[in-house]
Amino acid sequence: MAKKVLIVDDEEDVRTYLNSLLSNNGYETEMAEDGEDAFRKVKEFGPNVVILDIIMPNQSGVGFYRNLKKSEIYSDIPVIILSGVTAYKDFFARERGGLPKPQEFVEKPFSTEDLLSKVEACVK
Amino acid sequence: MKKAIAQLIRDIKDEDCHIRFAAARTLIDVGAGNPVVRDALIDALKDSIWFVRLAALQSLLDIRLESDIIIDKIVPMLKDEHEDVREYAAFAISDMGQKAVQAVTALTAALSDSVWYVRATVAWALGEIGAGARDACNPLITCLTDSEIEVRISAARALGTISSTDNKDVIIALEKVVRDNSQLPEAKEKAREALARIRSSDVQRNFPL
Repeated sequence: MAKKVLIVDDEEDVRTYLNSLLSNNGYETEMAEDGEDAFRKVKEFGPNVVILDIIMPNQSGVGFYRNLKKSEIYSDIPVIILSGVTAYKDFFARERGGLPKPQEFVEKPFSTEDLLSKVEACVK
Repeated sequence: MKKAIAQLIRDIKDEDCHIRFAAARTLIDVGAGNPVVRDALIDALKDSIWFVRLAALQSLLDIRLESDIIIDKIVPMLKDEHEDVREYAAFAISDMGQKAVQAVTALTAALSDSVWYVRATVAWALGEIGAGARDACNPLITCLTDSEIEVRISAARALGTISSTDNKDVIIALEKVVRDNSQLPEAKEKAREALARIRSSDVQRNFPL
């Protein structure tokens, strides 16, 4: 059975590219364009991993991530942060108040091999 | 390079917020030591779009300005309308450690932020300031009963780095968390660590080697 990946990004080009990349590599995919949409899709689609952009309208990736990790049902879903804002790498990596760290941080622009290997590691 | 800076200074005032965002992120790469760049980024802290303000803040932090200038510019962002900006402002202040003592009053007010992860990072930032944040002890004690576990953990940790055994209210409040069976194990553990830290720092103060 194909592993499920939820792609969360406000840029349609990025969503479409990732959708095609992951589908061609055997994953079942779903897409969301902001944090609120993403939470709905988490409930409906039940992803094995989430690829998450940060700067998005409505609920940002930070808000979505924090609330996902607080959820009793969905907190175990691994999250790969995919962002061009490198300052977020340090922001998420620092331990503070038990706020959980993401599984992986991938900087945009990214290499497809790197991203695919991280997705694969998360769904194993 | 001058042309690139001039273009980016124009871009940071562009009508399109995505262009302003890109300019705010890129200016630092081409003109970190340039006062015109610094001023443009400071102006962008008041942009109407939250992610442009956030990008300007992140870039300004890379300039390594004097701490009082940074505090002066960041503290108002603890009241930003967007929670991501408020949390990042607290995170940036925490990075300055003891030098951020001027931000204690604003951070203390931000402990009652409506968003839990802002409160958690604000409490953590107060802890990073240490003894200079002593005035925040009572509001932090209140945070020990916050509805969110992350805030309670952050507050307990902060009290451990800020307080001394002289503050009996802190000791009583942390001991209460340790004894309280309704508290989650992580919060009790952090309260235990905080008490140990306060007591060991007191021993060091009274019996220096």
